Amino acid sequence: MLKLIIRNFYENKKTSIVFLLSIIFSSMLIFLITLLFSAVHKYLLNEAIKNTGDYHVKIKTDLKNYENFSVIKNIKWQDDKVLITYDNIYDVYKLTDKLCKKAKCAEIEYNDAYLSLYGISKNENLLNTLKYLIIIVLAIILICMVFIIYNVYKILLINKYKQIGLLQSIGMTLKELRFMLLFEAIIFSLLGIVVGFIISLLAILVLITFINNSFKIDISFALNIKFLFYAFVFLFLLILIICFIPFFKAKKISNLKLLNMNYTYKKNKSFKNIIIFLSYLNYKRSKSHYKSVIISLVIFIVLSSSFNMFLKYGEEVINNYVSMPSYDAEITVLENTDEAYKLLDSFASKNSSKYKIYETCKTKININRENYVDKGPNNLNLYIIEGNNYFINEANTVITKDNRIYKENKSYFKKEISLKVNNKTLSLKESKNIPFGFENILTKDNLLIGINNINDICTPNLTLFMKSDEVNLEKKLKSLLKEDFDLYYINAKEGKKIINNIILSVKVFLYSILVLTFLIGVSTIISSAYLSMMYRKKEFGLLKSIGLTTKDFKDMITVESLYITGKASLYSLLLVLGINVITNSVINEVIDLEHFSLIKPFLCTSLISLIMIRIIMRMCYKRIEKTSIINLIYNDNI
Amino acid sequence: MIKVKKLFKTYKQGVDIVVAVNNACLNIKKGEFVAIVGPSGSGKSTLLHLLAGLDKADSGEIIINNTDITKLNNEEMIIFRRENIGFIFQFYNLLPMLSVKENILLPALLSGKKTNAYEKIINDLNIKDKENYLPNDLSGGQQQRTAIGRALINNPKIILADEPTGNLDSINAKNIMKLFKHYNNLGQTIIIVTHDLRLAKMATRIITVKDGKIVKDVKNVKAHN
Ligand SMILES: Nc1ncnc2c1ncn2[C@@H]1O[C@H](COP(=O)(O)OP(=O)(O)O)[C@@H](O)[C@H]1O
Ligand SMILES: [Mg+2]
Repeated sequence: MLKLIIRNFYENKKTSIVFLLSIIFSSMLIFLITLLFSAVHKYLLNEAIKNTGDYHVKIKTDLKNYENFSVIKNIKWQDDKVLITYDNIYDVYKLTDKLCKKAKCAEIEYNDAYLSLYGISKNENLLNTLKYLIIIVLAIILICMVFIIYNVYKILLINKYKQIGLLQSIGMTLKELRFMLLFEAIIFSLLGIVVGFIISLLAILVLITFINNSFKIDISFALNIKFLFYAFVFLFLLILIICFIPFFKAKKISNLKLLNMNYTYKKNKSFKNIIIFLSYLNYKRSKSHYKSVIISLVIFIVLSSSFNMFLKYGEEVINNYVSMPSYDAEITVLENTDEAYKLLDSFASKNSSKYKIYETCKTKININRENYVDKGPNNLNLYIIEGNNYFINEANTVITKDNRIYKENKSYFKKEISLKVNNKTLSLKESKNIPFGFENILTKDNLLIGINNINDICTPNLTLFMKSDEVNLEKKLKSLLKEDFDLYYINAKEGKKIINNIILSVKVFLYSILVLTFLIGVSTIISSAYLSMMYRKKEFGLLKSIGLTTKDFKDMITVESLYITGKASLYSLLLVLGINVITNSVINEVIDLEHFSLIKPFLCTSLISLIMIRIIMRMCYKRIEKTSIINLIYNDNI
Repeated sequence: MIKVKKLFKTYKQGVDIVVAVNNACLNIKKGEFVAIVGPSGSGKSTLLHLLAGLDKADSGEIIINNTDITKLNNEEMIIFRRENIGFIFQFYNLLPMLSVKENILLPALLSGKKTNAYEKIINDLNIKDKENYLPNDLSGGQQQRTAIGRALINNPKIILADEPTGNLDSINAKNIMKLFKHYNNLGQTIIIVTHDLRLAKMATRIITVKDGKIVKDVKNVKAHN
């Protein structure tokens, strides 16, 4: 048996390898996403525990003898409150209610940061949203995967058909044949899943290291054995089912033929051009074969255009919300300040091409109350920097501690506010939101405003900003000031590096997702288009035998690819428009950006699809052309 | 009209090499009705496929009306066949999405010829009432008639038929053979493959093939009457 399978593998080497690759690819994607999710989940869990602890609920209560309350796993006292951990976290609300019926409870405080990671917090539930997103992505991948594997397997079967006939003719029963194919499918899927898992494992380790290095955080690898087991079994069964669909379908076909007997002929539309007529009829007849091509095209167009939008979203966020400090160091000397700064000044002016020093001052600002009615603070510490030109970005970008961003000249930042800096008024626009994940980056600075003549506003004090390419600036400055002065040095370069890394990671992430979806889409299209062409071998042979020339075929393929892509584009357009409306409303909740239009990427991907389909069909046709007419006609399909 | 010289065709079957047509030489004149008979696997179909240019010979010549079709490339062959040869398969091989009428007219449409033969053919074949049916709604005999109509529509010089009655009951088979006879009487050159000797007797010439070789080639005087 095994020998036969290995022989089979060698006979249909190419298709077998593609089949195996499609399994590896699909399981890899699924493992990759789930592994990444569990790693991030674990990281967030650790962070939550670090910040708030792993208790479930904090209650001020007079209940004694909690130990008798059997569902409680652990109890800790904190001042006059009790921290409770239950056996089953999912019952936290029910059990707390029960508990509080028995005793007087006050100030019930759920550990939302922790609970939300289990998807059971009643408050904001970021993780749940993330989970849904991942489920949607997984579902899309699964659909594509089913498509690809099914198509490739069918191609494999078509190629094998002769052999299958031969085996049957030498006395292999249908049952034995099926068993052989099942056995083969089992071996292929096991091999594919295991290899896919190993590859995704390696990829995830690389990815985690990369993320840790660039974000300076500590995500560790998490492996949930139970979950992994389920994923394995699920994938395995899914692939087996996919491999058996062709057989179930084969049974059904005879019934369909019976139905066909009663089908009375409806007058076809008449076409002047015989080629268009043939393509049209062919489309009508083999709708089911085209269906898979059209679905794969729709998936491709919709996925590519919506991920294109995500890419744009990411880029906009980076461009508009991430502002890099333009200085390299922040220097503060607390004692003998004037003397120290004089020293630094003369040092810098001697070498003005290499070092630039900017004086700063701290002042209070008033935010015009008329326009600014929100709960935000109206009294903020403000850094004024000398050099409006140089710090032009910072001057126009004001970030406050309550996560608000203010920019000048951003038409889509709706709310206008004016900041009064002593007697000067700055007119700025306020953004409603800060994009997810950017809070920490944005609040690093307090308020920063560039002014031409600093002395107009306040007396320079304390902190200097310095710009220099010097690598060991800190050492140099320390040696300059010697032990006499107590120098506080903040390396802004490091911060810049981190931000740069973050930007890079986000970009890499977005682009890799785009490439991935592109790949998934393309392979789905290739597999289904190839299959639909393989199904038509006989028809091509027939048409050739009665006189269809190569040119006619080329025209036919062009007409068909136009028709298929047109239809797919139409469906996609509806979906894309829907997605566009939804995402725009969602995105507007998160950040202030101009309305994204999906139409351009949609047109682009539609065009790409058309070209792709045409190329694939032409390539398939070229292959088919090499086969003699007789072989085409007698090469029966399943 | 058809001259076949030293024709060879081999197939690979795993490690074995099967000689399907072994040094065939033939000379068929215009208006002949030739039946090729022989046991199954003797190479009858292969020979016919080579004559129609549906498959490529390993060596030898096939000259039809002064054209050596073994020298034609794929594209030239398609056009040559379209104009000169009508081929009929055992399993009809009609296009399932086309109606009877469209199936028959297709070769004419493809070659861009205007034809008025359709009405006559469909009446001769006695499927006038079925012309708007799809092949799947027809009986085997009716499907084979449609296939014959398709072979005739371009008024080809030669009709080739590979076991055209192999899938039909004896009454239908006889009727189909009568149709061939009818067209032969009108001067059409016809070559059919069959393993039914009784049907072969309706032909004017019977060629027997065995193991790829032509072993017997006799005039059937009775049929001339
Ligand atoms: N496409 C093919 N591949 C391999 N062998 C073939 C092919 N077609 C025919 N043969 C072999 O060539 C021989 C002649 O076949 P064929 O011409 O179909 O015989 P007949 O029509 O007289 O039954 C047989 O042995 C058959 O197995
Ligand atoms: Mg045969």
